[in-house]
Amino acid sequence: MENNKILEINNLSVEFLSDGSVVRAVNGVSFSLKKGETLGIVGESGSGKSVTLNTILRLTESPSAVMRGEILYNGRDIFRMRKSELFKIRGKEITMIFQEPMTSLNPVLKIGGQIAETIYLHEHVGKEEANNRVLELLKQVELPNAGKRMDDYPHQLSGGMRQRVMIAMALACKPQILLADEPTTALDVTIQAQILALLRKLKREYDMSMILVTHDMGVIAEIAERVIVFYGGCVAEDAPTLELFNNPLHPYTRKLFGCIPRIDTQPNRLSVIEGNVPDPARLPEGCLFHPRCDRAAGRCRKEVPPLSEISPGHFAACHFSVH
Amino acid sequence: MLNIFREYKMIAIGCFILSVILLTAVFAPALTSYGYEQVDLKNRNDAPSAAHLMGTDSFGRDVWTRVLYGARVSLTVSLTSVAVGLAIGAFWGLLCGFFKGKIDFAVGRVMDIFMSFPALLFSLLIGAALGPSILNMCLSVGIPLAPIFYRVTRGAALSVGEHAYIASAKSMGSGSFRTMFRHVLPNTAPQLFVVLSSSMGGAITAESALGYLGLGIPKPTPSWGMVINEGRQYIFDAPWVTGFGGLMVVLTILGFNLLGDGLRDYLDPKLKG
Repeated sequence: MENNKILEINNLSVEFLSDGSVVRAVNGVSFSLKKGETLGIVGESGSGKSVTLNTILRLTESPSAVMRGEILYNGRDIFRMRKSELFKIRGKEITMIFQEPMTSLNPVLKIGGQIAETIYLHEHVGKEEANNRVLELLKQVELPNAGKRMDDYPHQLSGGMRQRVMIAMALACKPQILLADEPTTALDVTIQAQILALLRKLKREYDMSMILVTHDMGVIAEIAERVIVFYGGCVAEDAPTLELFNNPLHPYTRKLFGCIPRIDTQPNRLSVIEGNVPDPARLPEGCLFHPRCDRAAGRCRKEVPPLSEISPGHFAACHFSVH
Repeated sequence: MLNIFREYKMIAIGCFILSVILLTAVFAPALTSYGYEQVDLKNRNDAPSAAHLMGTDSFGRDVWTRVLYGARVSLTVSLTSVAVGLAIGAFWGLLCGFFKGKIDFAVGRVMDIFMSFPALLFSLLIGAALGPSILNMCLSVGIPLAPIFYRVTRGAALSVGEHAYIASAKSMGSGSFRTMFRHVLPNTAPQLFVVLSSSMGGAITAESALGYLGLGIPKPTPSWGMVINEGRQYIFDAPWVTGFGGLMVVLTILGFNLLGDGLRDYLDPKLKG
């Protein structure tokens, strides 16, 4: 069972020092990813979900960032790796797709060359073989007219096409884990559906594990097997997708579902979660959600609720989630 | 190549001006029957005529000849010194803008010290310390240019570094130096080209100033700065000496600026159809 975990994150926290104040973006997050699993991470803007994802590849590393905890990839702590080892993992074992397809490709390099570069970085292949593989990849991500498109610059492609190129680049060296940071947010709805279908197909073909960060519950329902709900840089709830949608335990998760319009009921107004996401530079004491929670009691203002297993495989961080 | 010229008129004009000047410099001996230090005391400060296309200076030397030979020195000095400034400034700027943190702070303060000297004074200082020769001339004009290139490259690298494609390149396993030179540097080129072409003019001017102060190229080899300065005393009697010397400087700077602006447009793939 334990060996099944390809990625394990223990008590991860990320802080940024800015102008004398400490921005606590991620506060003691723990979760794991099983081999072959698709894990969804949902949360509002600023809940630390993207920072967590970026930290897995140590992309948040900068002079002003303080990172604690451990990220175990196949049992090895990514934080303790030397740069040279890290560079071998990035792009080869773990790869990433970013939110803005419009800006995540280098504007001065042709797309074919950009994908080929990833291959050259990790494998000793000749030019011809690399080109053939790029063409193959572009066909796999269903880029129309792939042969001609290889010589295009990124600005000559639409957003959806660029996201396909990004996916091709991420898959170039057959990674173990694909990290997707809101891969569909910047795309329109029809393209979103196509990209999600493509990701699901490729995940199966390449036998990868995948972590998908989004703030769209619909995307989660579409693709993820398990969901983690982030709030204020902490894990609020962690459950299999179906279980979470049928039986949300954390008050925040419940309220989130209340905000989504449904086709089968017709309320006059959508409900709204009062208040704002806590400012990561001034986090409240106790449970981070208590200022916005209906059920908040004295205990919630003082004690941080631990993430505990309420029913098998279903974790929630709330003092009252027992019933 | 012809298509580029047709589409980008500025590149075409800039290239034309510069290649004419370059060719006249290379083939200077074939284009004149005088020597650049050939004195003719009977014909001093003569106006332009068929015998002397640009007239003669106060020693009776042919201005056309001196301008032709002067182009050799002036072009060599300006190109080399800008290359020196670019190499030093862009390298450190890229390093600082990419890595930020302590190295940025340290190099930034050193560049501040360099910048606190007026450029000409700084050139004089280096020139005086090294003594007159063409190579020293290039160093003394080029080193004071470095902080400008440093500033521009650092700023551009800082902003380019924030783009998602840099994080994306890193996430694909691209190492620091590879990311820096392959992904950051080419994207700072548009800003660099603007400074490059404008500093070319500055370099020619600085070379003239140094020549005037006696720290330039050892006499009697002419440079444009020297031609201008020698004509300065007789500017009312023989305005053609200063005038034609200055015209060459102006044309060259114009050529570099047109080429620089044109290249910036051409190299920016977003503007291409």
